[in-house]
Amino acid sequence: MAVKGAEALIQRNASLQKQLNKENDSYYSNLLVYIRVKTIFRDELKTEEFMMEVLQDILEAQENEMKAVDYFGKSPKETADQIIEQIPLNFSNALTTFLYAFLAYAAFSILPNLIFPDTAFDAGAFILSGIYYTFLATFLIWVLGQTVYRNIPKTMEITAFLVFILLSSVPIVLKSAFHFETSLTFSLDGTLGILFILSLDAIVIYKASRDSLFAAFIPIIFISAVLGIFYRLELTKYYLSSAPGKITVSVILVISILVSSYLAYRLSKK
Amino acid sequence: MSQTNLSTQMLKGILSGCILILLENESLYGYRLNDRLKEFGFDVPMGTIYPLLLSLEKKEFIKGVKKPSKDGPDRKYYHLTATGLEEKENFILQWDSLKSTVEQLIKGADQNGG
Repeated sequence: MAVKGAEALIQRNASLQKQLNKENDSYYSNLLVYIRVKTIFRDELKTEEFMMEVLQDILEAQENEMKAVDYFGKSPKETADQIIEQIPLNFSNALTTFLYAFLAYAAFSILPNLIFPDTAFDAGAFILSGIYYTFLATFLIWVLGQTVYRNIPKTMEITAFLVFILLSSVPIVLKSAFHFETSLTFSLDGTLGILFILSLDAIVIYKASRDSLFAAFIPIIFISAVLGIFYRLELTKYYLSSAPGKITVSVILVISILVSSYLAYRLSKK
Repeated sequence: MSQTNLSTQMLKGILSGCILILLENESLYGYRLNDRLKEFGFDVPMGTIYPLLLSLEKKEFIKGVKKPSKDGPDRKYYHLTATGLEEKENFILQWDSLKSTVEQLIKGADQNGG
């Protein structure tokens, strides 16, 4: 699969990039971000192969005491636009990425809400918010592409960040403050609930195996899944509903949240 | 088309032809190709060369093949294809014809002026 090859190249690129000096790294990073965000509807493998080629060449220039700006040129944006034009369009890459992100969003957002079988699952609201977040993410990527080679004032950066937070919270506000619901709401108790939890867990583990940052969320997702299953099993549900059971569940959940937060912090530092 | 655009377009066409000529005799990766162009007096930033390489590869005039590198990941070496060879021959013919036309024009203009 093309994406697998591209992902391997992205990881290789990130580790090789560490060999760049500060000035060259800044030059190359801007180029990389600009080309990546502007090629979301183009061939990802071709883009990553090309960016690896450029990185290797800049590293060789650096070995020969040449600056990236002198090697590549003083108009990186114009050059990058010419390069992007030459990369073939590929909408299936983007569709796969969006579908995959949607599934990951599903797994990460639904699982913690599935612990208690008596909480109904609103599939309609979930799909609508998923579509909304997909558009929001695409818009964010577009904005990022517009800002790479521009000097953005600090006040505008802060405003943009606040607007983004505001836009991100729209589905949550609609649900919690305005009790937004769709008719596609159904209960996920018993075997159906267990099968649903196991399927979502499989997606999370698959995603985590390909992206180390997602691995940080495994403890909370795994614990949510186990608790969700135990709440649906005759053998364990009565204990979990008792007072000591509730305390145990609370303690386990807090620990898993702490472990996940710590792992996310450590992995983001790498 | 402005004068700057015209000269940029001309340079791109000439550079593409020169890349084909260089790649006929040896396989080269980006950095080495830039070095070879510099040896012949083309002091252009690599940013100008990359879009040309991608375009030539898209038209299947050149092909990139990964080869092991002694210090790091495999590097992409470009070589000329059969269609690239034909394109190179075309470029040389066009260049010869253009060169003699311009030379005649310069000579004629000099004689008329003198």
